[in-house]
Amino acid sequence: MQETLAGFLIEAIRFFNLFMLFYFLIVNGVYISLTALSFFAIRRYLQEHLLSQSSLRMFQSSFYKPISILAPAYNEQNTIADNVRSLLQLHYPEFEIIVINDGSKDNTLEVLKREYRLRASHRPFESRLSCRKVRGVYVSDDHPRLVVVDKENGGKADALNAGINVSRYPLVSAIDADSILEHDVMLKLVRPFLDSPHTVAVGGIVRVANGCSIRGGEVVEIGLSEKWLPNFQIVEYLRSFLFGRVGWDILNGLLIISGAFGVFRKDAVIGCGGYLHDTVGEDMELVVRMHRTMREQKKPYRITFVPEPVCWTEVPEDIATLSRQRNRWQRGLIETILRHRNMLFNPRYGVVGCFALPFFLLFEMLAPAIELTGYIVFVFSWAFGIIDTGFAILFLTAAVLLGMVLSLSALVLEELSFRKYPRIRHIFKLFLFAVLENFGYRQIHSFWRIQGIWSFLRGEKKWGKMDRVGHRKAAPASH
Amino acid sequence: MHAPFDSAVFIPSALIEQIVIGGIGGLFALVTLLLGYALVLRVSYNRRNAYAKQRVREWEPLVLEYLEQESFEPSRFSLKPRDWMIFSEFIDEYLENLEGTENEKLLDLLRAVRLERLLMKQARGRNRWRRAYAVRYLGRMRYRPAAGLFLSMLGHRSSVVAFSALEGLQMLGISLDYERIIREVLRREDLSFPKISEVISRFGAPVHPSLIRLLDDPEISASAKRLVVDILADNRVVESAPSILGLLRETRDEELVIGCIKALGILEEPEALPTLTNYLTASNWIVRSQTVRAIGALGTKREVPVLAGMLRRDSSFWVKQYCADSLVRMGQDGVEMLRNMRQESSLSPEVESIVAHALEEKNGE
Repeated sequence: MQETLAGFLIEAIRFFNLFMLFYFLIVNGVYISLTALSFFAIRRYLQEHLLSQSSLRMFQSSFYKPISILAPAYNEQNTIADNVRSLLQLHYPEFEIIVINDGSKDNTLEVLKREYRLRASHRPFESRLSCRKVRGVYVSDDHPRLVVVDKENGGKADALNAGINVSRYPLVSAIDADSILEHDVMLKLVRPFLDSPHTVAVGGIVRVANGCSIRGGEVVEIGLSEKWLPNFQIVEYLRSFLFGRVGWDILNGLLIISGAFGVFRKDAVIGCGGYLHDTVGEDMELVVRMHRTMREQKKPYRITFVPEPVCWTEVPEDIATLSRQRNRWQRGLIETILRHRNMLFNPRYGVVGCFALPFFLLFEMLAPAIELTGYIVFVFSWAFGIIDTGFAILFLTAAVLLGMVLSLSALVLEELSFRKYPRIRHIFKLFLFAVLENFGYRQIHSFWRIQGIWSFLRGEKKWGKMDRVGHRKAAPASH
Repeated sequence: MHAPFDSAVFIPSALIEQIVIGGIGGLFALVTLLLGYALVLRVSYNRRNAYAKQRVREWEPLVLEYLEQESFEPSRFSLKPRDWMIFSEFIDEYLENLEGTENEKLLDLLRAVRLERLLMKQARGRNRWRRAYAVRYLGRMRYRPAAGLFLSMLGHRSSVVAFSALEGLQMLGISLDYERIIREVLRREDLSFPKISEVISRFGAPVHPSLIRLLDDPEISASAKRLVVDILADNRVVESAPSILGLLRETRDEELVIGCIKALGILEEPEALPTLTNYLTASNWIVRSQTVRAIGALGTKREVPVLAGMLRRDSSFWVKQYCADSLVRMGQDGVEMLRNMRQESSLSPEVESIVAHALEEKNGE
């Protein structure tokens, strides 16, 4: 009896190990394919970019579609005035900034009222998307482009819906109030809407601002952080944006437009019901729902990505905040995939249903659980002689090296394209973090994501407190 | 290392071990290669950048000297073959910022250093991006002998090249067969209409008669006519109003109807008023809202009660909003109507808010 059980266990482990091997090969195969696609896409973008300087000048005209920029703010009294000032400096022919004070418990609204001499307005709006009660709308005589919406607390999605309701223009851009946007960012991001009338959403690259020097709401010197955690995240962001999203974009299977930065056609957002309140992954959920709605209505559409670093954001510098963020991202991912599970492997939804969503299910949502089980079974197999030490070392080395190849490919893409990190030592430092992330960071990351799965199973809906240290301010320019 | 997997292990073959070892060797090599490549890219970029900066430092005083002096020897720029791109980009900034005789003088300089020779070569080359760059630059240099080449490029299979050719033709600043050019670009569905509009607008007044003629051409599609109407309206081509009005009466295409209504409002064509009022009852709210805006631009006292009625009753928020805006725009009578409406107790909260906001925007009431 015991022998039978041991035999069954060994067979099970053998099967799992084989499964792991195939899983490992497929996931890395897909990533390498995406990297290859991204090389072509970025090359094409750069060649186009060669012509774009005069295009940017050219398109500052009445043919550009006006845009409403939505910036939800919750308890941001310390940074909101500077952030709004930065937003008001954007170069774009016609835009409005709508700051949505989402029931802040601090003095966010008072600071805005004082800094921008706001006055209450009767500005009417149509409540086409559901949101909590709007307590008031304020405008500024000094800054006619600024509108502040004060509403009851309802979360980011709710605030964005309120912003869309109040907005006047056909394009809306959802950003984080503390994001730093490059001044001509909107001109670049709106171009796909001009190029094709079928474009409904555009995302841009978000970069890590930790370690950079900021002056007057602008990144004046790009650098790496002195802390470890942000640098690991820089490598992650490079990978995720430079080949993840660019690659999926080519296949028209882009599922995520960062909540920190995206532009949408308003009628398309309203047409699919706006942001959902009951999810913590509202950004991904909206994009997946747009794919779904457009496909179901058989409308031609394009959800695309501009591979240019245009938005800078502060990432967590401490373990607790980072773990909460990753926990939330994982919950958001699960919620979205489960909500749209009938799109999975469904040819009706094209690339999204047949490739992108299954990929996210198997290699993003389930990956941490599979990876952690793999570690445990691997150690178990090795300890009980099911696999020998030599193979264990070889397999782990291969895994680490493949991870490094992917990270370095992102680094090469960066060097081929935007070269935002100016010094050679930056390259060495990023390489070092691309190596080091395999020894501890990646495993902890998987653990946080498993915690996310657990939190989801327990029905947790919390956003999680995000502690921010604030952007590093550069010394004033000397004249 | 002993044979890794006996009968009880999951990878049975020594061959696989060899493959794994080979793969790892390959991956090591790839990692080293990628790191090396990243470094080479960075070093070469830095060197190129440093060289470009150095050249620009040398050229800057020379350009200033050239602009100030009557006689100047262009060979002092000592352009090497590798400098052409750097030089063209460098001069581009001056071309962008200098006007009149200084701009002309810079163009003379570019001709004197024979930049057009290289650009023409690039414009005829295979790389579509370089072609597009060269075409645009030749246009900027106003190199007229290139006009024939540009015209032939309008039909190029690459939209980038075709669009650059259109831009190049516009920048040449010479008299052209505009009708042919516009027909050619309107035929292409791969060229973005807003971008085309922008360039066609920049051709200026000489292009307007051709545009007006196209409105009557049955071979031109409704979407292309919509584009033409937009351009005419944006450029305030008042003489196009009768043709646009005729088109509005004829067409059944809803997008074109919207474009015509909008244009007639912008052009403030009084003759259009009776036709426009027919569209106040259109089922499409966008048609109604554009009509309301157009009437706001050219309406008289007589239309005030009509707009007020729509403000009270229309089903669309935006139509109501534009009614209020139009009433304000119509002057004292419209504003008076809004003030009266504000006193009404039967108004819905939405209309109340629209009226209040319109008056608030008007003069802080």
